[in-house]
Amino acid sequence: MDEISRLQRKRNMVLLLAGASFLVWQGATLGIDLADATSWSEPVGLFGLQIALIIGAIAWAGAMLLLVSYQRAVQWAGACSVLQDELFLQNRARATMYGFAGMIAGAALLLAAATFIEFSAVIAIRALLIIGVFIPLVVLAGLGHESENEDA
Amino acid sequence: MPAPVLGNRMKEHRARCGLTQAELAAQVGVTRKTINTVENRVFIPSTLLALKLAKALGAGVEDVFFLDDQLSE
Repeated sequence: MDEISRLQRKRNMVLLLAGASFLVWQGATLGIDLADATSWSEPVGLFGLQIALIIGAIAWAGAMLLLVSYQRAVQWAGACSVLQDELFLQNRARATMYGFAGMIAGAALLLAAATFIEFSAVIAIRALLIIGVFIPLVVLAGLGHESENEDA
Repeated sequence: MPAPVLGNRMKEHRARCGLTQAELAAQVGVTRKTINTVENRVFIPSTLLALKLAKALGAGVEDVFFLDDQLSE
């Protein structure tokens, strides 16, 4: 496997880790917000959410460190333009579009839900933030996934 | 009337030149995946990239890329 392929794999791994850790971190925070709003006080459940919040936050910080490490490796290899070629730019635009569509769908669902239940703006914004960050990261990683039997 | 798709003979030209996808990718400054997706008609390259690919393969752009009415749905 050449250096470019290694860097592509590292990029996909960082994107997946960032997406998953953000989901766990902010998802747990959202859960705690909802527990506060509904006066839900199951101690085991709340403890689980707090543990998930801490693990997610640590994993997110780790993903950011890996991102810095990836950027340094790209600069070291002088591969910035190759790794941001036409296909990647198209994939990034598609991933952004999926994220935008997800946020619109989420906003519509929240609007419909607001008719029946009351929740704060913070909860709605956090839910949209989770969708808007998680979907593009994971979709971009998925589109960039490279199988190993392509060369002929 | 079905819309034509962009066909290509990249694989044949690449074989003629004795290049792997990775070597061709390095010559034109893209990733191997981009070459693979162009060859498999998954990704339509820009005019600039099509010209670079044709040049790297030592052929005219119309020899490498063509409108294919047969494979479209």
